[in-house]
Amino acid sequence: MEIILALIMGSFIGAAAGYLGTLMLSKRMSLVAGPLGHLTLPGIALAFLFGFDVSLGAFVIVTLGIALIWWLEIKTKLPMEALTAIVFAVGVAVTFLFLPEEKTIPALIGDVSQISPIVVTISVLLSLLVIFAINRIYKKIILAEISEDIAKSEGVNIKKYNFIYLLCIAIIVSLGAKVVGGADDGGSCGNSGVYE
Amino acid sequence: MSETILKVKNLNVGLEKEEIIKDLSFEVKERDVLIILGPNGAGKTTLLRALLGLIPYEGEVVWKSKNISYLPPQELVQRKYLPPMTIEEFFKFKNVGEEKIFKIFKEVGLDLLLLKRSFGALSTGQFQRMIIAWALVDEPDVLLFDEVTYGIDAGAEETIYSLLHRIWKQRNLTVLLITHDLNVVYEHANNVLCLNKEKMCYGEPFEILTPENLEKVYGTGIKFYKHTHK
Repeated sequence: MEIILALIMGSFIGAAAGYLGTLMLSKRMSLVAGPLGHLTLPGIALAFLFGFDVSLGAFVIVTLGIALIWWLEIKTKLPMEALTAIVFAVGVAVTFLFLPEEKTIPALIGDVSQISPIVVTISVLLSLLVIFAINRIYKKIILAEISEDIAKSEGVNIKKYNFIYLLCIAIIVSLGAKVVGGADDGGSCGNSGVYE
Repeated sequence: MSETILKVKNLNVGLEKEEIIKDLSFEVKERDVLIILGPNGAGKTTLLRALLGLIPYEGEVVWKSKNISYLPPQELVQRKYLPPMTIEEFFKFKNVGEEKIFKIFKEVGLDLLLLKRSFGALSTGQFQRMIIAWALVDEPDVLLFDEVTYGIDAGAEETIYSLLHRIWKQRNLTVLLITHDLNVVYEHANNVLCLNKEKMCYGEPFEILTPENLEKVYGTGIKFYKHTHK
């Protein structure tokens, strides 16, 4: 039963990850997705320590990490790949300072025994929400990738759509943390995008 | 007598604490072709971006029309790393019918078969025409072009300018164009704005493009020879 639930959950998360991934290609973020996945680890570790939901912990930390990368990119003008590497390395290092040893394996590769029908329902709904949101902003993001100036001159609010996009990544990466763990998570977005 | 379509008064633009445009004022009449000339770093692209409200500025920019299309320099348009998307799919972003797209493709001299090609499969000249077609879909009153022929050969460049001239005449457009090519200025412009952070000269090409003014704008001796063929 757990395997069936995990498959259902994984299918929906995978579909959303693939859709997000096609935009990662044009944003040249494909290789950034993997390290973003590892950013879930401190959140997972906190969830294990204080007994709350793994996806919730992962979501908070990934959102904070993405916000930090976004802020550092504006302040330093360094490429996103470099900043992601820094934030990713700090995140992983901090995790292993306080992650209980017996929880290391589930944190890294996930734990399908923790998946309940309610979790699957919430994950499916959130995945559908992400697919719907990306569908609404897809054309605008592509236009902004072709030319920011053309997009802006046609009234596209690039900052707003980029924020929605990053939020969607944070949701999917956090949901994925439950099924595949922090080690393999974000890469699903980037890889799916490349395959598509 | 044409009405004023754009009025710019005391425009100042600064980027990262550097003053890019200083106290610039000028007006553009309807159906004018205004060419903006100036050396690299003179603030030409910044001016167009400020006119469109894409960057913050001080001063007054008043457009009579709100239907303005802008084409940035080609090096700022990405053609790689896009999802596999045909030109036809790209034009669907505009939410207009196929018939209109076909009509505009014919107008800019593009084969309709190109609609089935991907972005990366177009030559530089075809890509530039496709971008002009994109700008025309909204039936604009004003076109703003930034170095429209960047990266294409001299023959294709001449064809693109002839195309722009034909579109300008047929559609009664106002055109603001950045170019480095003085031949284009003499052939197509009603007015020229010489810019080097501030207005160096403004007026009809044959009146203002004197060797003295060009030297003032470019900071070096530039001469323009007009040949008469008999």
